[in-house]
Amino acid sequence: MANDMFIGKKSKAAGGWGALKSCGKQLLETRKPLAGAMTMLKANQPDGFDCPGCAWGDPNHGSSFEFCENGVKAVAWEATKLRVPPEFFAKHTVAELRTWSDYDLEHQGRLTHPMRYNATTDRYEPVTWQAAFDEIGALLRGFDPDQVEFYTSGRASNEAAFLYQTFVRLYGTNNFPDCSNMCHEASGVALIDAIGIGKGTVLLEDFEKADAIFVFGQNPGTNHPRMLADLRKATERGAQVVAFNNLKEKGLVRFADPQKKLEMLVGGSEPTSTMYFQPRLGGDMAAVRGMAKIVFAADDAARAAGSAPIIDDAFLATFTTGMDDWRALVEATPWSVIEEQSGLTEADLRRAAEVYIASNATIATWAMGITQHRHSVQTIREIANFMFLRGNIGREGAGLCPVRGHSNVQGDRTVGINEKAPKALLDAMERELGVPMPRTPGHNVLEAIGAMLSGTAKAFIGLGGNFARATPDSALIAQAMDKLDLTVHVATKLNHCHLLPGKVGFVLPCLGRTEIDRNSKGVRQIVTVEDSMSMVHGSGGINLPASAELKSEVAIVAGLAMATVGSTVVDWDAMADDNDRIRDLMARVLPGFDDYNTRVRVPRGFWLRNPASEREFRTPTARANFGAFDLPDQTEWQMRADKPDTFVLQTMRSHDQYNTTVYAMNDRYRGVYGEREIVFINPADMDGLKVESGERVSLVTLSNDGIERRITGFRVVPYDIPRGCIAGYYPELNALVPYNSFGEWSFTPTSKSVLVRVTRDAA
Amino acid sequence: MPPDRADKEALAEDWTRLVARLQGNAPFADNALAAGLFAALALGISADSRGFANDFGLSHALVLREVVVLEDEMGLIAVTREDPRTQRRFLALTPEGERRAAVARTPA
Repeated sequence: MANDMFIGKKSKAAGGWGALKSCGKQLLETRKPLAGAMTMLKANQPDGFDCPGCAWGDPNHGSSFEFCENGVKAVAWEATKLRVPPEFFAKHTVAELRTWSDYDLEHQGRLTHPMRYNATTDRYEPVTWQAAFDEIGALLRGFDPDQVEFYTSGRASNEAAFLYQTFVRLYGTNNFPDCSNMCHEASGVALIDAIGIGKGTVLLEDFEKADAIFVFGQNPGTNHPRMLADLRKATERGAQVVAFNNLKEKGLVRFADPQKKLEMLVGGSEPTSTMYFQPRLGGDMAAVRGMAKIVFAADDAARAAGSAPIIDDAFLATFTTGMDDWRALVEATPWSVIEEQSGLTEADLRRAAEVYIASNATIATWAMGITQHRHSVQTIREIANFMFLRGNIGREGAGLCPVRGHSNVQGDRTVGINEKAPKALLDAMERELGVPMPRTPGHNVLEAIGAMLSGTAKAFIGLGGNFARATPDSALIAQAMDKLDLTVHVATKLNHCHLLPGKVGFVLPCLGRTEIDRNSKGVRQIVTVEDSMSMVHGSGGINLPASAELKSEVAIVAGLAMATVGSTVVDWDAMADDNDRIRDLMARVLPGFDDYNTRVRVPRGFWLRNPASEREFRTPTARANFGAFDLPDQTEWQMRADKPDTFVLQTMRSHDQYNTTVYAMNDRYRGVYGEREIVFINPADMDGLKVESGERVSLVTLSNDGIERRITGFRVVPYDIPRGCIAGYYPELNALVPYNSFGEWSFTPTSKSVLVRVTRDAA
Repeated sequence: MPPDRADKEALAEDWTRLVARLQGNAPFADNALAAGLFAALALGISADSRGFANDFGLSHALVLREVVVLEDEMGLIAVTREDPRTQRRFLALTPEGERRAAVARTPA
């Protein structure tokens, strides 16, 4: 009999008691605040605290982490009392630690001392900060700068990231592979061409005013839970929320708000969507095209009947260009292709389009379900086109909203972590520093991987993250990192990437965002981050550092920089000791950062102006550009040609996970407990494969590059997912994602459309 | 048993008075929130960081920061228990904290 004990009861709704129990919280009896006290106490607290979890906007800056399950997990993960001191490394060789899971490695606790790899003993050994900086600096000076890859995680603060890009460009390269290359790069590429800026155009307040919200390829319940409260508020006031998601996700169905105590007591919840469609993987572009087809037809009919037109002629004429070419493509696309690729019927799409037509203010949001396909840029352009039709950009309650993952991934790009930095940024850096900046584009993540595999890259410097696990083709990446001359990882906890040291390897432990950072004068420092709505705000630590040996990311970057490029151009010591000085420098270089130090110290910070949100489109045409792109000749779903053993695989997070960090082994919204090596599959497809729930299967990637990518022993979990599509957890399934399969123009790995063959394992 | 309205108003007055006295001297002179938390503990209004945050309508994170100040820098309070997931810290005055509170509560 198949073992399905790991599949348990699914939560009825996202959030709710489960979330509170999971957080270990107890709700307090409501008590009237003491009169007059709040104002006095609040007035003394300008610094705020930014949840190190997701990048959703934060209206209650400083307390939202408590009411967001993942915020609690992120804070608790960093605030653990467990430690990984030098004695830990003395006990375990690197080879031994490589056999541990990332879950086990990270759950050992916080790193406490800078460590240097000793290849003779195969152990990390303690080293002084200065010795580490000196050796790294000497080695870096010996490389051609373009042979070094400088990775950035979305955890890095604006200050650390800005100082890092200053150091790296003074060193002489634009090699900035960063985590956005693996997630929302397609959004940036598409939106820059469409509206002149690679960011969303809405504020949190717009969600309170939208008539309709279209949510594409996104699972907010797990990835940005605070968004659920905003979706729920929208449905409560009568707005329509139309969800397009391959899987049926709890959070996009109902949500019990942990802040509503009565509801918690009676076990209530409210809807977060009013319509839910489950397109086939890679079928969103066709779905949007189908809706556009209906809007155009409705507009024709309205005009013929003498009624008000559906599309916004004034907006289109004044602010856009290129609609006619796109309209011709839309009208030439047959319904048979739209239905085949999307897996949705014309009637389904008509229902969704009618919501769009009836809405006077619409927001479109999206995430990785859209951005990790071959045709992601085209899909996002299609979404933007669709939104332009009724002028749904640059006005209250309407706009485009790519929802970012890590809390500062958007900010890092804003402050210069960009392998193809805008000319204006490099010009400003040159003006400020008085020295030339490198102008040759550098490496993104896939190019960095290519350079490591080919042997042209000699060193890897990681400002946070777990590069070896986050990237596709994990096994190949491990081999590539092993060949490097130098690896340096700035980290709070041990992870698998640290166990792939180069000939010389360092792990440099840093303060987390939850920890109080004091400078040499004892003054508490704040850092700043930018959320998905372009709000930039300050954040100060709330806990004592895990170890007296820890340095801030800013101090580590400054130490590396001083040892590598010297202090002739930048006074790194001064920067390291006072984040205000870094912000002063940023204010002189970055547009929109004027008076930075003052504006980040007001509650919620300040809005980094987005011209497109005010219908100022800084494109070459000075208008919003429609993009006219054919649908893919074939999606991966069509390529499988109805073979019963061939599927399109998407990788995704579990509920107890944030990027490569696995907090616990459960995924309660999907009803999976204690196990991560699983594959979600449609029950009818299980029949075709002749497998039962809980049985184990192997997956092999179907690619033509001669590399075998196989995983075995993954359990089958029946799930509400379209036939021919399967899903499982990242990073375990990254071994199946080819690094040489990527989105056109975005170079984002195609982690949501991997063609695989599935076979039942021998009993 | 929760205090009735009159008790609550009296308590609020006591708390306000104590905060004002604490702020008259270092180390509370420039830190109203630390003074407020310390006074709430001394008067038995709150016993933990999150309860205090709720009572006073504050962000828990900001209160946690002042717990560090009162515990590690001033030595006036001790964390007796902590919920590792919510970061809620249960608090008590140290002997030095008791002494400081008694002094502050004594009319000049």
